[in-house]
Amino acid sequence: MGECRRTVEQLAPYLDGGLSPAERADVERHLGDCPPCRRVAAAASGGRAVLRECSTLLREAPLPPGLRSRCEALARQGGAPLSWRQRWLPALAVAALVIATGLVVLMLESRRSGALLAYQMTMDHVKCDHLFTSADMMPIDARDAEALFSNRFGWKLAVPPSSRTDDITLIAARRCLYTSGTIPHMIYRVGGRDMSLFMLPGVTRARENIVRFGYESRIWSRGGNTYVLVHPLGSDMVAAAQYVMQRTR
Amino acid sequence: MLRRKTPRSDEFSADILALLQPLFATSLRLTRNRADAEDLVQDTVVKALRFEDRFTPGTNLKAWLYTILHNTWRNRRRDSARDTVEVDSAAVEDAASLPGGPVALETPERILLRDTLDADLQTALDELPDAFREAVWLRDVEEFTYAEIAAMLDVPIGTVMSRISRGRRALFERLQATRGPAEVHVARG
Repeated sequence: MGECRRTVEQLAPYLDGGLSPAERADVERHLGDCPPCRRVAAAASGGRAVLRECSTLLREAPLPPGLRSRCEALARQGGAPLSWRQRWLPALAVAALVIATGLVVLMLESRRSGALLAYQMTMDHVKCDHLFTSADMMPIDARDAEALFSNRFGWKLAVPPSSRTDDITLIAARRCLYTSGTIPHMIYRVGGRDMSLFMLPGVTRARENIVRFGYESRIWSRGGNTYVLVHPLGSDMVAAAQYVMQRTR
Repeated sequence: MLRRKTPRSDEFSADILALLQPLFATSLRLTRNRADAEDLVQDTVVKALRFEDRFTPGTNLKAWLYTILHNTWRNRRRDSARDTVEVDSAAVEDAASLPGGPVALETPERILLRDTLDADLQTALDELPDAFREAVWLRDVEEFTYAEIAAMLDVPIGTVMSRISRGRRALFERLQATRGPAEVHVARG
């Protein structure tokens, strides 16, 4: 049986002509003595021959209409992301309506209540994570994010960078709707799960940790601004949260 | 939303676009679904363009693209939780490797199908476990080396060789079961 296993393991290079003469002789000697292995080899040889015989035709699957032009458009954009706007616009509209309605209710109260702020930021985290991230997000540079916030929106803040050693990756930096205006919103991926960092410019409030809907919201103020970090519960997120909190200023 | 952009070169883009056809054919065989295959090709192209700086000019662009393609597909399967059947388990590989299966054919050196490509072959390919289908496709249709395939699939070369061998055998047995031995022409030579 040991020889059978060895022979079967060598079948691919044997059929592909990749064995040395000595190895080839060994395989052939065993195949000559062992009908079961001979049948296996015959079937493998048969499958190989069929595939190679038909390989040209198999490779010729016609391209779907539009795929080439879409890829050409992507090439012209230099690998810019796929058009999420087209895919998500309807969902975005609904989400915006829901959020706007909620904002009216929460607008005044959230200024005082940490619980309501946590609720709102948790909802924003869930909404944005659903709408704007995917499984294969590319990492972005914290300095690019800072430049974006500063140049386009006038927000001066230090964006905590990714940390390879801690498996924390900055995957998004965006402007997020909040009560009567907008705020900077950063999304980090930590071991396959996402957490959001929001900054409320020019606002200070007491430090609080609040759990809502399976998410923890950490609220603290520094440098005259308030930060809210929202992450799913779990021991792996705690170290990541500490890392991010230490790097805001 | 800010995303990182990388420098692009028209030549690099053109080289990628020239490989769309084989990329799609391979995607189609991986996903077994035209819509998924289209998405997979687009994602692969996007990533390749973004990570142009990671490609070493003069090396095999096609192998590099196929590595991205397979990584993307692997991640997508994992994320979609469709990967509930663990085709890579030792048990499955062992079961597929044991000699003595219901194969009636003794010593064909070369086998030709009476028809060229038809639905039977595509069906037989699609019915193979993913790991076997990937391996035989990359070896026998795309003609990559074992080392290139090992790099693409991120598995040892020995595993690649055994998957190729088992995939070839399983494919042939499925074709035989579909068509019956009488329909498979065997030419000795």
